[in-house]
Amino acid sequence: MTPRKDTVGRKTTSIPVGPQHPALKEPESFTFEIDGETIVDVIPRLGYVHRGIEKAMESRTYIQNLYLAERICGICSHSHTTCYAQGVEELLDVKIPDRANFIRVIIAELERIHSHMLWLGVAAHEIGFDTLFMHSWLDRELVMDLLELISGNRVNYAMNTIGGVRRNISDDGGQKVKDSLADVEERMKHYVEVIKTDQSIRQRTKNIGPLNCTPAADLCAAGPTLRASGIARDVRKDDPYAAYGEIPFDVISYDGCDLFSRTLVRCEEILEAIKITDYAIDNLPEGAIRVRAARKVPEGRVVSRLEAPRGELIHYCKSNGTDTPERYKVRAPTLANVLALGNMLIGGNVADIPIVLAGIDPCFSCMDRMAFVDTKSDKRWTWTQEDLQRYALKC
Amino acid sequence: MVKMIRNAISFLFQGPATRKYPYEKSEVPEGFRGPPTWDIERCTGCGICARVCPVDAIEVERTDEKIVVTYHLDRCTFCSQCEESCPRDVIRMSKEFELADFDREKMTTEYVQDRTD
Repeated sequence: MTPRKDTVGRKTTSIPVGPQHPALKEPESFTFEIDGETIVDVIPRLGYVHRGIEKAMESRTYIQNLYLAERICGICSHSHTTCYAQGVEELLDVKIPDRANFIRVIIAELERIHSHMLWLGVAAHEIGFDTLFMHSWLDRELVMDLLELISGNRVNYAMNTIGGVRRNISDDGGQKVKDSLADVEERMKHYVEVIKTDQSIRQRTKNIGPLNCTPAADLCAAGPTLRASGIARDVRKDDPYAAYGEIPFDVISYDGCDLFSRTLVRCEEILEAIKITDYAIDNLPEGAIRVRAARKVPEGRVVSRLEAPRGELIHYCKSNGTDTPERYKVRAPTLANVLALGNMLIGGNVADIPIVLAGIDPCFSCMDRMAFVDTKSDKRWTWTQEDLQRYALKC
Repeated sequence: MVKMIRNAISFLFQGPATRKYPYEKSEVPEGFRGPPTWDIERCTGCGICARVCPVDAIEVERTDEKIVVTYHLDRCTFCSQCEESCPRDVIRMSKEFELADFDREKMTTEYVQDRTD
């Protein structure tokens, strides 16, 4: 982002926030131009946690890449593998069994529940409401235990494989999920009530970080950030994948265009996700959970997308007939939302910076994908839009 | 605020939410993915586990005299792809989870099958 023209010549003070922990425990740098207590401009600088995952994917087989894609994000690990597996399955022209689709949905929704509960805790902490932070994270443990019970690991579930899922959900396991989620639902209803009625939460979130409908759409914001600006856009509904086409659910949206709405959207999405999970468990089809898929993938290219907890996640894969991809690209939802941060912050107060940054539920290490470094001269640069277009056409 | 204060006070009369680890350990569920172990006497040394491992944590060496499987715990990501790919079900994921050590050398395990008999 370049500095806004109307700030040039005005006497403002620059405050660097980050790269250490600007909102969550992840590095990203923001330079704020402030006039008194008011923010007049914000310049994000991305790229502190670039890990070279896309390049690493080009040197591993499709099966090995499942576990690398999973490690793009520590919270939405299942979303990344699902997106990856969906893409490769399309290239292979493999149709996965219905049961596998339902299991993918169950894990994805459990992941959404724990991701949003994590966010609720972080947001409560940022506004100084640590009691809510502790309690919501305690309840989140119920969901983490369920994921461990189903998949064998709390964070990297490794449930997906190319051609289906790796583990089945037993009737007993399904019942345990439903029992635990009943407790989570009760707790979440209580938190929604707290959020709606609590004065301190209202004062710290109402009309803070405004993002109106038009700029939200123009800046391609995604996920709960967009849905809190009155636009009910959700990949699960608009372009159903896995088993979402067969499951009835509502897309939650609020038109408050502020942090309060973003909080409510996420909390009510948890309640909706519980309903989806219950429905998926009750209607889990019988049958196989996976089909055999070829090791080598025929030449082609594919874009796959899905609704991760933070918004629309896009993966691109180009295959060349071997057992490794030729090119892989990931567009994480935080990258879509980070542009909207400018709109939310400008005109706001310095004291609101942490909560507005946390308000988009940023996941910076998912987002940082590309920077050029010449190791000999230590020169660094990034590509402009024209450069990227030229490169895209050349590919 | 009052609602959450009521919540907080109710916790004064409940037991703590945390455990007294390491004196009190949590039980891991069935199907937990700990480090893999080899039933080496049944291993044929085909090397599929080493080939599929995404982090090169497994090395397999087969000679006329012996089969040696070297497992590097410090590289392992516990994805259990080796267990899944093993054609003879030789590999099982264990339930261990206290795996830290000060010495990296100790994190390598060797399984040897003597083939001279």
